[in-house]
Amino acid sequence: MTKLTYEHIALISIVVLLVVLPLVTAVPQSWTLYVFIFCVYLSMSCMWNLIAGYAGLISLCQPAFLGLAGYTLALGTWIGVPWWAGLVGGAVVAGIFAVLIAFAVFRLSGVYFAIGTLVVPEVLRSLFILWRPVGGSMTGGGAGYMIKNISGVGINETYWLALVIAVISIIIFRAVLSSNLGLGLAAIRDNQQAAASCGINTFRLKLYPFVIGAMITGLVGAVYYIHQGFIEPTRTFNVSWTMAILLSTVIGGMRTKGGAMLGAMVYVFLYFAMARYGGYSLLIQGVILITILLISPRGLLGIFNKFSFYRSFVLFMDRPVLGK
Amino acid sequence: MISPIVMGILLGGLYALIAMGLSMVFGVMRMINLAHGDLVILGSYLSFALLANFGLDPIVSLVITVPLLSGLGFFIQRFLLRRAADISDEAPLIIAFGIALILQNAIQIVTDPQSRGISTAYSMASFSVGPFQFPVIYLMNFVAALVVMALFSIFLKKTYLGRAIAAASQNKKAAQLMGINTKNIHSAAFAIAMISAAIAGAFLDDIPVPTNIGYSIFDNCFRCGDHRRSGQPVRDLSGGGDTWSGADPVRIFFRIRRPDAFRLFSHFSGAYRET
Repeated sequence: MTKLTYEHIALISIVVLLVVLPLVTAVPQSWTLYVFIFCVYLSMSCMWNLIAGYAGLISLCQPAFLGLAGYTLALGTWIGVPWWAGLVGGAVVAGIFAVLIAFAVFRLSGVYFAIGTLVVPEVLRSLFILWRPVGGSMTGGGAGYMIKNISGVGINETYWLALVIAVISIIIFRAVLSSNLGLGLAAIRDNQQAAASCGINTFRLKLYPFVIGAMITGLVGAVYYIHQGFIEPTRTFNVSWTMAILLSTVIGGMRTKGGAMLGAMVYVFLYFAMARYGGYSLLIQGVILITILLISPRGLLGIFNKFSFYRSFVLFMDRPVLGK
Repeated sequence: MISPIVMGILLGGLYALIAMGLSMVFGVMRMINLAHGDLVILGSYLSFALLANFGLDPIVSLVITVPLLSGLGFFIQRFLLRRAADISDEAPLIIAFGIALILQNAIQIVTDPQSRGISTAYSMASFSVGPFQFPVIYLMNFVAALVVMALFSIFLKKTYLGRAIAAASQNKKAAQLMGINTKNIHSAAFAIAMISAAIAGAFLDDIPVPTNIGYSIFDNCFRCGDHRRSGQPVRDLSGGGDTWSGADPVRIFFRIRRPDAFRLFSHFSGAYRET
């Protein structure tokens, strides 16, 4: 069991603050929305950081997972499944789908893996444009589905759900990194042949973070679609999700512990601060993405790491509160 | 039934031209150029701007857009991608994402997000074969694509630069040992890919094109090409014939079972064994 550090205390107090945030009437309602979107991107980019940064699998099929989970939820509510069961079912479907495609895409490595996963959301988009499992000819297909029977679930409930998932994703992320699994993944990333010859079951070891990432991404995606209230294929299985996840991870710092958190914060800030300017927002995001990647491959945290006060701050945060 | 097939084949020529540029970059640099579709659209809009402001025919405007785009390609490779390639495997991909974002939105800001077609003297013309009518521009696209691809084939076989590009794509280390400066070859390959993008863009002009189609063009063309080797443009042609209706990506699902797609996948696993 790890010791309680100042970092843990800081994180826990932030989470407690965020939990009570929607209950404080002095805080504007829009803040709830900001933090909600932040939690959604945080969970996704945290998992992507694990998959791509630490396991070396450049997965570009995250929209497939969140879309499948969202569709499971939406179609479930049409046949009378309650929304919470739809959430769990969505995560399970995303996980199963991840296992299925893993058999195909894990045969590829490096940039080929990226290609192999890039087309998966495209296939699913076409499938869901054509497929109308429930409802008449007016719904489904390209028009998408409403999510029914969620009148009791307001912004506060989805907010708390997203917050819980974000916390879970951070805990999973840190637990994996400090475990044998994390060590094995680092070994595979650095040299798969060497890792395999040391007796590591590379397929199974890569499968764990991939499936966990798919399930968390699916779960938080389904929560996002409860908030949105409807789902349609074109914007769901869209490369813009991949871009958002990539942006927030790379801006914060790939392969760093807090990168996803910082990156998601910056991304959401940019997203809302420049929402009025439409295209300029995305343009500036593109410029930031390229600039940060070329200046500092480890993102903003990599830049911070050059300053000594940040390093001493990190050391201080790692110090245990009690005992030695 | 005959008419859509012929139109598909004719339009496929244009796609093959775009796919050739994509395939060239992938073959030489082992990098997925996600921004390729957006670069094609950039070429297309440059031609459009020249037509709207100066009355230049899209084909004439190639004189300006080809050097402009190949210069841009050279710049992108030299100052962004080359540095990114030193960072990590995934960095060029992320850079390409960024370029796609920038281009797509810059075009949308400068123009507006509606699709537009160009009206030249020949854009409404049609010709008839027996009972069927076909637009002339489709035939022009097809012929232009064939000509450009034939020229590229000759270029790759006969000139030093072309042979160096083919060599670098087949075996980078061996090419280096033969005294080829592969870094310069990468820049040249990217610039050449941009030439084909500019030409394809100019011919795309006669078809109404929205600004955000770049990714889907990339996606369609990506699936057209056999990315094993650049320098085999005819292969790209055989996989062409996509149109950008929404249902198309399903095809990759079926292509997996087709022999040429199987080659693609067996190549993937082959490369995996090599590394």
